[in-house]
Amino acid sequence: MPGRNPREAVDEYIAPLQRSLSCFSPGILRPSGYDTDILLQATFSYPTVELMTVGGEILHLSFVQGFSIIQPLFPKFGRYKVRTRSYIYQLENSNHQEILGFHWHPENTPDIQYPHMHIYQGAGDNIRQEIRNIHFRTDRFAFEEFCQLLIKEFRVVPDRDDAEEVLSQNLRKFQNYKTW
Amino acid sequence: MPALLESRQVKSGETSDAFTPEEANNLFDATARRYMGISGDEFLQRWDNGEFRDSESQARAMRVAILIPIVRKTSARKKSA
Repeated sequence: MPGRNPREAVDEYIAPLQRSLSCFSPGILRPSGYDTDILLQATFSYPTVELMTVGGEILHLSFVQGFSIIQPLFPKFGRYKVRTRSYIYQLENSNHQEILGFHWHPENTPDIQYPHMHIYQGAGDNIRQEIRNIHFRTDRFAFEEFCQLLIKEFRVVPDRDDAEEVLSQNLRKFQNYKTW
Repeated sequence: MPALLESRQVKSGETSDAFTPEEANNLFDATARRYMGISGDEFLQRWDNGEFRDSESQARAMRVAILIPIVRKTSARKKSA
């Protein structure tokens, strides 16, 4: 999602994520800056935001995306672009025990370059340590896919009537725009 | 949705400002305390010393480590995936 300047590029990048998030949370995503030569993050002002399930259970969502801003070759005429560099989407129970998480952080873990999923202690009392240690290989996982999983599988209450449509639209945009 | 919650949502076309350095430090510290039970400063020191790389602690530590660039400027010129 290109922009005429770094700020516009970041705003264009965060806007669809924010819209997807609005399907079940009033949480606000913020960038860590607008510099073109450093790694940046988009996340909440707090480690997690609260979710509620149809059954009344409180869950917590954790979201971080690392990104960088790519300068155009000719800044006067070109557009600034944002490239995703890492992500973590996690679901936690009411006690902040992690249940599951979708991770991709190749620059922090040279030996684990691929997107993966973790199953944590919050998924059940008898989850073996070996299972909790495994990086289950996945495709690149869109935030919208995680949102759909929250609503369909964890029965998180949508905050808007058009949640399904919003997530499908944004997922299609993501799939058209992604480069891998 | 309750009106109070709705009023906190970012409206269409509205953007949110970047973290100030103080907000970034507070977030990093809160995240380290939440996931690792230590302060942000201690996490940075121990991470720099090579701790938290074992398979048992890595998944939790990564939730904090991914935020390191928020408190410590990190070049984006490394290889990008």
